[in-house]
Amino acid sequence: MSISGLISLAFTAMIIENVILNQFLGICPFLGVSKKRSSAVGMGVAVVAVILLSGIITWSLYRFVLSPLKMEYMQTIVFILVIAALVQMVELILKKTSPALYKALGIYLPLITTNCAVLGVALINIRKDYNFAEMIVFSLFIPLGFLLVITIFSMLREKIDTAPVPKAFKGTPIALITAAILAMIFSRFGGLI
Amino acid sequence: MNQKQNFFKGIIKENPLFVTVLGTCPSLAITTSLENAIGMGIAVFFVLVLSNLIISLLTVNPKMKELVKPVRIPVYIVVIATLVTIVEMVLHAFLVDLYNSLGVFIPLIVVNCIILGRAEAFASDNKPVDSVVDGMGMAIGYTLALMSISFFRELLGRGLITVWGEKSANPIQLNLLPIFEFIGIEPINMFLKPVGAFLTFGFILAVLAAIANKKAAKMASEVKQA
Amino acid sequence: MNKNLLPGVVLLVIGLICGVLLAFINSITAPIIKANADKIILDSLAEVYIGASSYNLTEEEGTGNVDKLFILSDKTSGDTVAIIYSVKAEGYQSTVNMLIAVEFVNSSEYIVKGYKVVSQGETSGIGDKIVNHDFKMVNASITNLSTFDAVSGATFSSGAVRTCFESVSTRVASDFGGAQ
Repeated sequence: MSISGLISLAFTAMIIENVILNQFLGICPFLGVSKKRSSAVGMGVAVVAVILLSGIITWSLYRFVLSPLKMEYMQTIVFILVIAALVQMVELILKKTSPALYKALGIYLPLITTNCAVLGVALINIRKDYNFAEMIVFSLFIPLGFLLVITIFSMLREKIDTAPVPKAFKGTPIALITAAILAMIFSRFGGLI
Repeated sequence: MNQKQNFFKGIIKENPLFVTVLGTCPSLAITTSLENAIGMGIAVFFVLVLSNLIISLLTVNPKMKELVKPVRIPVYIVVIATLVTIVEMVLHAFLVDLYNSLGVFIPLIVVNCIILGRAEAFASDNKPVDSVVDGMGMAIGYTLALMSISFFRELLGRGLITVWGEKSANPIQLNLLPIFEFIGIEPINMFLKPVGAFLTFGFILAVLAAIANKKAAKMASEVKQA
Repeated sequence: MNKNLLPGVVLLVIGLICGVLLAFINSITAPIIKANADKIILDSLAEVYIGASSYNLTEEEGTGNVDKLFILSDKTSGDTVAIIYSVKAEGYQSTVNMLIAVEFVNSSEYIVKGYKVVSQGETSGIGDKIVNHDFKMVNASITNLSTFDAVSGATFSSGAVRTCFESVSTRVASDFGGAQ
């Protein structure tokens, strides 16, 4: 794929087909950890690291091990085990090498295993038959889109907390309706390409 | 708790989607049609009931439970991923249309928090029969929740609901297009888009919260009078 | 045995059981999945080659402009009856993708039975006319492009279509020779 193709893939992955607002992956942390901006950013950064790493590992495993062995049907099991192991390893390494970073991101790491965006990106890389460059771009810009949206969303939620919301809408309902308006805004970026 | 309560708690009191808000990703992504929602529900039913059964069988013996404990999460994941892959292969072979429209959300059942959540919170501490009943209740509760979201989305977004086979000669249909025409509006396409998913889910949760609030207020006033 | 290793062994055993189970179910469903996928391809091939679905299908990767070869062979004798080529060529501003069906007559004659522009991004109103244009190639010999009728005013787009036919004509003899 040409450079311009990669740039448009990056833009599409991050903005137009945003992982949360358009593809509905990673909704649980999006609703769960977006009440405060600091925790939202922490979660977002951890997700970027894990998705990029797991994307590279799962793609390589599929290309060089599962596919030659004709064991494609094992991909879901292998991928989820790789992700679970990777999250544990990242946690251990962070704990040893950078206690400050571990303190900031550590509590989000176990939650990432069941973040469907991680497994989702690994599977989409295979389903769309991406080559190495496309896989790297996709696995980087999808979580960057996650980081962008969860940051914006947490700032909105901090404001909404102080607003007079009808009692029935308090909490998750108003969060979903805010997300709907965000989704409407993001879908209009589609006209740019 | 008797078997009946055990079954019905998953449908109403502890509905996985509407009360504990678990498994939200597929509930937003594949609820564009009622048919998809039912298909997803059946897939989740199969996986949840069997994973609950297998995991409770694995942990029913206290010795075995102690043995599995340090590696229980990987064991759950392997069991669940196997069941999901089976569902995926069977759908791919026999129901290609459904397989295509659910897409990546079939393998993603693996990370659906409901299934891992029930394994950890219920199946690992309960008898096989109870776990199966719990799984059935939870899966049916989830399916009903998916169906109610997709019902509104498909009805408002397309104007008609088709179940089982748009291609077949006489599909089961609920057609509201004449009513739309009578009022003089088009079906609201937005409800089939991501915006509609968030809006519908948000409003359903709000209505349920309003009902719960009213009940709580009524109970509080009754307590006061007494 | 070491007590700490035992849980790992349990996990390994469960993993193995699951792997074997999946391999077994895969061996049942894989042929059905393959047959379904072939049927979808055959249905789309039927647009360029009538009756495509009554033959056996094998796929081969192509080289250069030729992306893929769909080889149709007789279900009983196994003889190659026709080859449908998926070909691409650069047009004015986009890549033109075509399907071209070629039928075997004798070892020196191969007849075009149908073709279709499956995707293109040529200038609308000018180059995109190639989609429905009759290039006068049906029932012509693939090696003889004298009847080729270009879209007037769309030189580059027609040129891409012509390149597609030429790419097929240079390899058709060896493809049929190699397949039989």
